[in-house]
Amino acid sequence: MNAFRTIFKKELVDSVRDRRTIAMIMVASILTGPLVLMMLNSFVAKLTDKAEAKKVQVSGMQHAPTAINFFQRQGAEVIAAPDDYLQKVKDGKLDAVVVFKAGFEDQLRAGKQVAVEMVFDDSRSEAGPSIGLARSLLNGFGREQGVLRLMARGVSPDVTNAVKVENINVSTPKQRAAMLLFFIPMTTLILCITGGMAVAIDSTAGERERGSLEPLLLNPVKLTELILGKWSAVSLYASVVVLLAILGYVLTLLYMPIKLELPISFGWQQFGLFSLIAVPLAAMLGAVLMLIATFGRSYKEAQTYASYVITVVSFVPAIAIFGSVKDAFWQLLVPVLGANMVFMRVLRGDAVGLEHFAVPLAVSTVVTVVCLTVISRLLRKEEIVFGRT
Amino acid sequence: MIEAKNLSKHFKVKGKPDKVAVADVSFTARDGQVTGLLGPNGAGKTTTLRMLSTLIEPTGGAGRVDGKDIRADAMAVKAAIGVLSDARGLYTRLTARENIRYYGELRGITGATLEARIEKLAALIDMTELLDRRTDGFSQGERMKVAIARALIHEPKNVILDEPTNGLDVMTTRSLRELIRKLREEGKCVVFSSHIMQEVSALCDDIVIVSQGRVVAQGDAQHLLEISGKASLEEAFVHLSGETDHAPTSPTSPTSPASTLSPTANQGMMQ
Ligand SMILES: Nc1ncnc2c1ncn2[C@@H]1O[C@H](COP(=O)(O)OP(=O)(O)OP(=O)(O)O)[C@@H](O)[C@H]1O
Ligand SMILES: [Mg+2]
Repeated sequence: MNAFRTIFKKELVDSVRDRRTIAMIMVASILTGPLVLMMLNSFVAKLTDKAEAKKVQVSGMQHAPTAINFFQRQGAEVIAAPDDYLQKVKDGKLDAVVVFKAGFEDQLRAGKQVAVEMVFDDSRSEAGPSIGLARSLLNGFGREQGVLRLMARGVSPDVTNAVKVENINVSTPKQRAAMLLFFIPMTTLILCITGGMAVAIDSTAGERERGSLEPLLLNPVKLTELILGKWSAVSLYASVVVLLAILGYVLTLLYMPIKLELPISFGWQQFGLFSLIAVPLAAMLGAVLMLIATFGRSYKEAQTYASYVITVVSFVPAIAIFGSVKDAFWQLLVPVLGANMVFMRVLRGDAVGLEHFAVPLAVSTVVTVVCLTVISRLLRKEEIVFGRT
Repeated sequence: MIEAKNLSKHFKVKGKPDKVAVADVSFTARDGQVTGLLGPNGAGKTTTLRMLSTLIEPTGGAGRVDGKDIRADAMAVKAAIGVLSDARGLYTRLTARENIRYYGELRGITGATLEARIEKLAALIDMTELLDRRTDGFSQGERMKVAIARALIHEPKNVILDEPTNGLDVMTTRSLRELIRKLREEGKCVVFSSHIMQEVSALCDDIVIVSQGRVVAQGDAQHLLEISGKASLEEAFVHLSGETDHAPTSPTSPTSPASTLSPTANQGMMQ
């Protein structure tokens, strides 16, 4: 195992001297936590402000006193919309405006169906709560008027309302914002790769490109030791970087003077749980990177392959969220997807058990062993060591 | 001692018939002697040396280093040789000393012994003042010195040098020759390849001329002059390496190992 130690040490020293790369990676990992959290926080703060204030913008208030009265009874604050509301909505300065036209009240009294306009731009997601509020107020008002009309004719309102829907929305705006939490697993997963990438490529494709692989293989060292030494250095870098990033999240939440608007808990306990998933994953991704970099004919080609891996990995959390993949055991068996699921559960404060850590660890171990075995096979091949035509 | 017996190597090439890099090479490099592998570009020198240093597996034939088989006993062979390979890349973020030390440690040499050897080798090839500089930006000759030092750090009994004088100036070439002579005096077995006749003749006790993957002549400089019937070594070399087409009948001396190759060499040609 002496050769293993020698190789591990050499790879560490060699890459530590690659100052620019190392500095960039370290800074990036430390800054990730604060930046992502501040971004999410300000977004959620806006969202909750709007929804909690329950404000509704109305144009032509004077044409619809009954409706206004209903709105106010529902606890909404009615605000007169400015005359150029159409432009303001287009510009994103107003979220939704309810427009009552002249004659609204008369037609309502006459028992006719009256048109109301709602002006909004649903392409801005933060307008969602205001639009929802305006719509539900109008629906509620319409229902109440319908019931009154039926009663006036001596018909029970139940005739029309075969089903009575009672909306009990238990989710708070904060919880809806939890969708956005996937940014945290996403950055964590990406940083599992970036830390080890330079070393993984340099010690495989780079070694061949600079012509140091052939002389290295002339030493009486077992390939297993050689590969394990290099992989350990890659894993160490990857782990340090991802741990720094997680630490960044924890420290930001613990010590930064920002009021937490996010529905998450991220303290020392979560740091531990995240690490249990992140470290084996970083080690596994290091082995994967080394494998694909061994295939790369040059440093550049290996970098291209590595960027494909980063792309795939970074899409996993978004796919899981927007594809509404339900938490399930099978996910734990899929590398990266399983890690993402456990990250999200930890963030949301859902229960996590032994299987949430043991299964990804086992999967990572298997993938790592397979990758390292394939690398040692490859390094026995002449066309890999001496280049291919 | 390094022995090659009917070594051959065929490389697979996509969509084409196999490339025969080495058709049939046999020679014996004895201890206390310098054996030169001489041949034009593409003759198969590097491929032969790579087979002998266990980096690639021969298609046919056998090789032995100090009696150990290159196929069955690769680790022992690696331990018994020091090789300046065709590729001689260094780690540019490490100093010359660290580059050499790395190879020493990989061979299990440590501590004061290792440091003393680094100093000794550096003095020998005149690179002491280079030792603590990072190798990034080293000239070709400076890089070569580091590569030679790290190949010899374990004081191997057998030394293989693939075109060691490539890109070296006169002074450095001289000090390299001194080093090779010193290795011979110490009783080591030295094999080196080159495509320059003068260089080989100046140093070698035994010259093996390889052309198109075959040994076409073998012997000392005097012998080569005789069999070629030429006045200068350069002429002899050109003549002998051009002989490949009828190599099996080339007028090598009866005692030369090359003359025993004819039957197998013929077979190799037919493929
Ligand atoms: N990996 C390979 N795949 C295919 N052909 C190869 C491979 N390695 C070497 N060859 C071919 O085998 C032949 C012998 O090559 P080799 O490098 O052994 O020659 P050499 O005598 O060392 O030449 P030089 O003096 O130029 O270094 C060449 O024609 C070369 O193109
Ligand atoms: Mg060569």
